[in-house]
Order: sequence, then structure tokens, then C-alpha cells
Amino acid sequence: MTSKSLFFKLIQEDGKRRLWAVTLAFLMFFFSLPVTIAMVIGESLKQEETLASIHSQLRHLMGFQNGFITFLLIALSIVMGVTSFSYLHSRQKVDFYHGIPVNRKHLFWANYLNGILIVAVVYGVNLILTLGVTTAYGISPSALMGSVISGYLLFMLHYAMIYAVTVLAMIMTGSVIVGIFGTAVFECYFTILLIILQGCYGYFFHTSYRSGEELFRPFLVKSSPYAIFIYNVALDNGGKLGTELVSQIIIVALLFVIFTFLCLFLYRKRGSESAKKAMAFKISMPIIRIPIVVLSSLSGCFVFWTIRSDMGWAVFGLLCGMFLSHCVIEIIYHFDFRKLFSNWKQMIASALVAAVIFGGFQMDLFGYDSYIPSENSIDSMAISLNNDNNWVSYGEAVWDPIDDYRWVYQSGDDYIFSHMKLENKAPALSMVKKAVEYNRGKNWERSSDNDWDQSDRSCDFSVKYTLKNGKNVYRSYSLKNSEVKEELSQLYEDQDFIQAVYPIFSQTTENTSAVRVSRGSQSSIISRDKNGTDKAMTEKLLLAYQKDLSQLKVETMSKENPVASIQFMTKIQAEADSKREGNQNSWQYSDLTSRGYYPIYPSFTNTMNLLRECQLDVDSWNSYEEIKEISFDLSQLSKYDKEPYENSSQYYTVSDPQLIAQIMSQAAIDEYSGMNPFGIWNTDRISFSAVSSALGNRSEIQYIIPLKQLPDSVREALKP
Amino acid sequence: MIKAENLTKQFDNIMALDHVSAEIKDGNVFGLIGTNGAGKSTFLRLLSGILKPDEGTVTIDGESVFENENVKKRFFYISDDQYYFNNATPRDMMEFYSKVYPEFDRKRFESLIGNFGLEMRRKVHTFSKGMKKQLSVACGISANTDYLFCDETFDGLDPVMRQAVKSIFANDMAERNLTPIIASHNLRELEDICDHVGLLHRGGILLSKDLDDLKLNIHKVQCVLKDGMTDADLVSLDRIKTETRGKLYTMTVRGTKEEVVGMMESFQPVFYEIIPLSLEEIFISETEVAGYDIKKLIF
Repeated sequence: MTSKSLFFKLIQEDGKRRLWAVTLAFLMFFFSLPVTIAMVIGESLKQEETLASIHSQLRHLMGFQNGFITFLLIALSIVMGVTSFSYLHSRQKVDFYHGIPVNRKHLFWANYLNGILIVAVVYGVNLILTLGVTTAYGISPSALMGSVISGYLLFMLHYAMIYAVTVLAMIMTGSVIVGIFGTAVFECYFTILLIILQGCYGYFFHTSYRSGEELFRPFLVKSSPYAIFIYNVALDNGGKLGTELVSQIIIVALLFVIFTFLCLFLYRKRGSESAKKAMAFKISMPIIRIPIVVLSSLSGCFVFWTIRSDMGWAVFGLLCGMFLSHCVIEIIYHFDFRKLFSNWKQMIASALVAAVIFGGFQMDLFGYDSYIPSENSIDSMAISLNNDNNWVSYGEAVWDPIDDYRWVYQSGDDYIFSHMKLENKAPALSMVKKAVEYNRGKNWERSSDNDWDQSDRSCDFSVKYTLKNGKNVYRSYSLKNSEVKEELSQLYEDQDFIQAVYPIFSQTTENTSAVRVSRGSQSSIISRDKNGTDKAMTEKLLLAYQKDLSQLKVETMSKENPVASIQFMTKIQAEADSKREGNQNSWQYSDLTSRGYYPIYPSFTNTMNLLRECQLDVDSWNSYEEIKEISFDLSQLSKYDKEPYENSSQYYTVSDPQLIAQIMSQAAIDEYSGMNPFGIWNTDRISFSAVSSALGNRSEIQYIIPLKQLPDSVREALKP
Repeated sequence: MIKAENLTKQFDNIMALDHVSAEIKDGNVFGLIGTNGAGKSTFLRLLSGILKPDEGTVTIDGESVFENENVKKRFFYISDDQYYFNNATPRDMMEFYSKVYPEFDRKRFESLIGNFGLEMRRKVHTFSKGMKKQLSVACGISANTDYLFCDETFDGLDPVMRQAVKSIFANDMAERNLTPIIASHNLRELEDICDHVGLLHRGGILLSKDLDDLKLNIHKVQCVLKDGMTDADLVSLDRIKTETRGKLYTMTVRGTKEEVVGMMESFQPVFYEIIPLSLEEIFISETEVAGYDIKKLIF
């Protein structure tokens, strides 16, 4: 009973001692919450935003999504951690606190809990003030209460975890400055280590996929309590925390409990005589120093290698990192400059470890770049051709009250790898084998990515193996397109491949509201769901297009080029488009409404027939009769001929119908040329504009054609 | 009674205390004297449970001190550089101590502060060194503990205040059997107050005796011997130190006055005189025996 009463008295007294910290915390929260919220609501009301939008903003600012509160709590965790236990770093204070008749366990809990309670109370009071502000503006707090309470609890839990780390550092050290360094080491060491390892991985493993991001990211986001905190807040911002909420809370709570009991254990173990020493526990000195020297040496080595790609410079970097880190730490440990080379054998050993790690990456001792899993160990395989699908819009249109209509981007690889399971792995594996063979003879330090014939297109591709042991393995390669032509042809006729590359195959009739067709500068909605009246045509068009695209052969793509593009608008896209039409700002939502176009090849008969039904003059798309002239901008040829066209016109015009027909038969519409992986990719090509005057309207469409396929007379004429 | 047994404390490579044992009886003033770095403060910090001994034990009436709240309530430790909270006033310190010491006497504290001429509401950081010492004594006395551990507490007090503090100690010893344990290198300060002296040197205890016994068992003898006799002939005397100036020998010898007189009479010197030693002289003699030679320090 006496102990309990003493414990609360101690908490009370400690609170008095830390009034400045309480004031600081209060001011920080006051300006971050009530003041900010008052300004936000005032501005929102002035802008006449909807109540839903204001609620959404307030939930964001008062809930577990407010990034500013995250950084505020990180700063407070350091302030509170330091003030809670800085007395351990002063002999005078240690004698005072450890001389009074108070059990150290009580003293620990009083100081420790006060560091959490102060923030909890100050934060809570400011939240109440903030709710008062919202009420004053006529916004009911009940609508916000869920976000406010969950945000408060989650923030406090995360705060408690990072606060415990600062306390741990303070207990393990003997001076405030070293304690703050210690916090930095605990909070940043593994993050920096992973960044350096990822750097080595991405730099030296030439076939690494996204520089090892897939491999390192799961560890990076859990590499320190700060990283976990920031990641969880970011998750909540992305609306994903719900699915991971329970596991994340358990991890954070567990870490808090573990750190707390570690703090208590070390606090009770810590001798009062440790005040003013750099490290309170002698045993921790090499445990902290050696990993830092290893990391520093590795970082020095890697940084100098990336600058100079020379082993001499790498060794120089290694030595710099080794000496600097070891000597600085030893000086801090002993507060004596003359002790900088203490434990020099450990310094050498640390540098050797760093050298081995660096060598492992630099010499690819693990055989990473030549790795190909055996076919029977592969459960499924996916391949993404980076250059071929960069015109495809991956992602989805969404709407939310804060950001309105927007496009949530997804990378092509992510989409393809989550949708593709190749039954026939042979073409993809053949490409990988060719790439590995090609890489084997390549000097990476001296060659650039474009060391082959510029007229040959590069085939950059990434593969994902899902092995039978459940492991996912990713690799990226680059080859000449001509070397894998056969494999590419096989892939583009494989339904497993096609269906996974184009999201249009996943689009359902239920989620399709309108169809737009574009050609050149002409664009029109040919079918729109108006309370269900045009739904049938929209559905028919979607199904017809899906059928045509799935039946598209490589042979067709080699002969034909897209003549128009078609867009199947989702419901949200259609809503945004309607809003855009009714709005003065024609650019509004364009990021959303301009996505999802697909090519229409002349041989897409199912689609073409339906477009005819929609009164679209599709037959004119392949007719050259309306084209009155073709105009070449000669400035684009200056790269081939040094002589400038000073005394002649900048344009060369062809108006002979025969020549026009000859040129047009080989040309492709520039805008859609990228959609055809087997179309005109030769860099030795020229663009021109074809002018037509159908129905008296003059229109221009930009085309491209390989130079060598121009009629001789035109080619001659284009020469200066 | 406080009992320290085989206390050993090492700081890195420095042996601060090496198997020190001592007993401090209740109601006495225990003077802890020693050379610089002898381990006086370490000994007091071990007694007060601030430091954990590497070896040995400290008990008060048989109960271990370290991490024992009930035992720690029985003493108050005044450090050589007492800590006061930032911006605290004597009143703030009183508030704090009254929460951790159940017997803290607020009236006594206010009375002592008034008598010392200090102000209850003045910031402690504006106090002089001596005023801070006075405040620490006021806190320690008002805590009403059985034992008061004072580390160089008289250092910085003016002569009048030193006497006043000694009187307060004497009064509390008489009234409530207070036992002050005072560590100091100012032996003159301890001489008139200590009942028992512990002499520390280089981490070890050289002696621990009642001051009276100590003084009764060591004497300074000045003598002029007969012709043909030298100090080497005084074999039966337990000499600690001998100085010769012409024919005059000045010796520090162990033994009671009666024993020394008896032996000196047997040598039939031309002249001899027995002079009592001050505590300071006893300290110098004892530490010199232990290798702490004042001449080496001076020259």
C-alpha cells in the first residue's frame, strides 16, 4: 500500500520535474490538432465542400493517417525518453535517486510510465479540444469518434514502442549525447544495412528484378521501430491497414512489451557507477561497435566502387569506412582521443567481414545472375515484356471524397505477375537461357545497355518463377529483339500470356459503361449506358473486342497496323467523363478518362462490324482515297544529313494519288504504332502527316514509315 | 548497527575498495577518514545502497541495504555534491523528501532553514556552496532517520556554521540516538566530534577504532638518550616513526601511556617527554606506515 502510494507520488513529482516537456508536447499538439483543424474546416467551408468531404479530411487529420502526428510522436519519443532517464547519466542525480528509500523498480516504472502518460494526456486533451473545435463549426464529433479513438490508441501504441527504444538506448549508455546516438543506431542500423545490401544487390546482380525491391522491401519496412511506425501509417493511408491491422498491432504490442522488459532488466542490472561513461555495459561495446564498423566499411567500399568501378578505390573506401567508424566509436567509448586504435584486431576482422560481403556481391559468388531453376522445380512461370506493354494502362479508376476521381496506378509487372501462369514455359525459359548465355560474355563495367545495333529493338523482360517450394523468384534480362523473335511469336499466340498482359480481358460487362473510339484527333463515344438503353451495344462491343484481341495472330500484327483505338470505360471512368463534359475544365479527370485505350486492327471483324452498326465509317480507315496529300517535315532528316535545308522549304509534299497509296500501304499511324509489338520498330523511319478532306473537313493524321519502304522517287526527293 | 563485511568494489581497472569490513555502532559518530582516492565516498555510496558491492555485504541490524526500501528509510545520504532539482526551492525539496521519507519533519526543516538564514522560496541554484551544504544538512536532519551519511559535509561551511551543525548532530544524538557517519579528509573537523574512526587507505581499511583508544595507544615521545645509546637500542619500543635532530629523538610509538613510560624509564634517558598526538598526526603516521609518505608528496 505504501509502495503504491509512493509510486504515484513519484509519478507526480516526476511530472513536476518535466513541466517544460509537458509544455513542449502541449504546444506541438495544440498547433498540430486544434489550430490546424480549425483552419482546415474554415477553408473547407469557404470552398463549400460537402460534409462528407470535410468528414473525410477530419478523419484523416485526427485518425491514424496523419503523417505529421507520426513525426511529432517520433520527436516526442526522443524528448521523453531522454528526460525520463537522463538522470542515469549524472553521478550527482544517480546518487540522489538511488540514495532515497525508493526501490529501483518503482523508480523505473514511475519515470518510464510518465514518459508515456505525459504524451497520452497531452494528446488526449488536444483531441478533446479539437472535437470542441469541430463542434463549434457545427460538425458532430460522433461521426469522427471512431477514427479519433482508433487513431489515438494506435498512435499511442506506436509511440510507446519507439519511446521504449529511446529509453533502452538511454539505459545502455552513460551520457545523453551517446544515448541519442544509441537511439539512432537502434532505429537506423538495420534500415541502412538493408539499403546498402539492396544497393549491392541491385548494382552487382545484373539480373536482379527492380534492384531487389521485392526481396528487401518486406524487411525494410520492418527494419526498425520507426520503419514499422511509418509503414503502418502509410498502410492506413493506402486503406490497407484493415487487412493487416491485427497482425501489425500484435507485432507493435509485442515489441513494446519486449523492449519494456528489456529496459527494466537492464535498468536493474545497470550499476550506478555507469554515469558519465559512454556505455553502461562493457559487454555491449563490441556488440554495438563491430556491426557498425562492418556496415561502415561495406558502405565505404560500395560507394567508392559505384563512383569509380575500380578495386583500388573500393579498398580505399573500405579502409576509410573502417578507420572512421572504429576510431570515432573508440574515442566516444573512452572519451579519449589516444584510444582510437583500441581493439584494432576487431577493427581488422570487421573490415574483413565487410570485404567478404562485398566480394560475394561483386564476384557473384552465389551464381545469382546465372540462376535458372530446373523446369520440374517450377510450379508456375510468368513473363513481362517491359517494352511491349508500356502503352497498356494498368490500375483502376477510383473515387473517394478527398481525392475525388483518380487513377490508382499499378505497375504492369505487378498486374502481369499476379495474373499469368504459363502452361507452356518453353518460350520463356528459352529466352532466359539465351539471356544468361549472353550475359556470361558481357563486360558489365565497360558496356552500356545499348551496345548493340541501334536499329535492333531491345527486348527487356522480367520473369517470375513460383517454385514448387512456394518461393517466388524474380529476374530481369535484356536481349536483342531479333534473337528471341521465335519465342516472342510463341508467347503472343499463347492465351495464358495474352489474357494476363491485357487487363481488358478481366473487364466485365457489368463494369463497362461506355465505349469510345478514337482515330487521330477524332474521338467519339459510340455507346453509352443511359439507364440501360445502350447497355446491349456496350456489352456486345466488349465481348467482340475481347474475342478479336484473343484471336490476334503474330502474322496479323506483322502485316497490319492498328487503324484506330477503342476505350471501354468503367463506371467510374464514365462518371468522371460525364462530370468533365459538364465542367469548364476540359483537362479535369483527363488522367483518368484517357486511360484504357486498345488498338483496333483492320482484321478485327467482329469489332468492326459492330462499329459499323454504330454508324462509324470504319471502311474509310483503310481507304486512301480521301487522302489529298502527304507532308514530310524535312527537319527530322537533319540527323541523317548534316546539310541544313536553308534554301528550300522545310516540308516535302506528295500529292500523287498513286504515290500516296504506295506510301500509305506501308505506313502505320504513329500514335498506335507502339501498340503493335511486331509493327514498325526500325529506328530508321520517318514520320509524315496525311491530310484528308472527307466530307469537306480537313484533318491530319501522323503516320510513320521505314525510310527504305518509301517509293524511290520520294526517297530521292527527300535527299538534300 | 551497520555492518560492512568484506566490501569490494572495482571501477574498471581501479580497485576502489578491497575487502573492507567495518562496524558502526548506533549512537556514535563514525568518522571516515582517508587519503584522497582512498574510497571514502565509495564506501558511503555502498553503505547507502547506491552502489552494489562486487563482493561483501552491507547490513543494518542484519538486513541488507541494497534495494531494500525499509532499510533505506533508516538513513539519509548527503552527497559531497548534493543534487537539487532544477529551479527548485528549499520548499520544493521539502515537499519531495517528505514524500519519500515518512518521518520527515517539515516543521523542523522550516525551523532549520530559518535558523540557517536561508529562504524557503529562494531558488537553490542561487545559493552559495556553503548554503547548499546547509540545506543538505537541514534535509538530512529533518528526514528523522536513524543514520546520517555525510560525505564531506563540513567542506564549505564557515566555522560558525560548522559548530552549529555539530551542535545539531550532538543534539539529535542525545535526543533520538542519531548516528552520523561522516567522511572527511579534514581531520580537525572530526577530532572533536567523532567517537569512532575508520581510516581508509588505497581501498583498504587501515584501522577502525574508537578515537579514545586510538589516541591512548599511540604517542609521540621526545627524548635525549645517554651517551653511547642510539635509537637502535630502543628495541622494546613499538616505533612507527623516528626523527633525529642532533641528540633529540622524536618518535611515534604504539602502546598505552603507562607502557611507553615504563619502557622509557628503563632506557634511563637524559630527558624524555610524552606528547599526545592529534588525529591528523595519527593519520599521517598510520598512512606513512602504509606507504603514504608525506615527504614524498612534498619533495
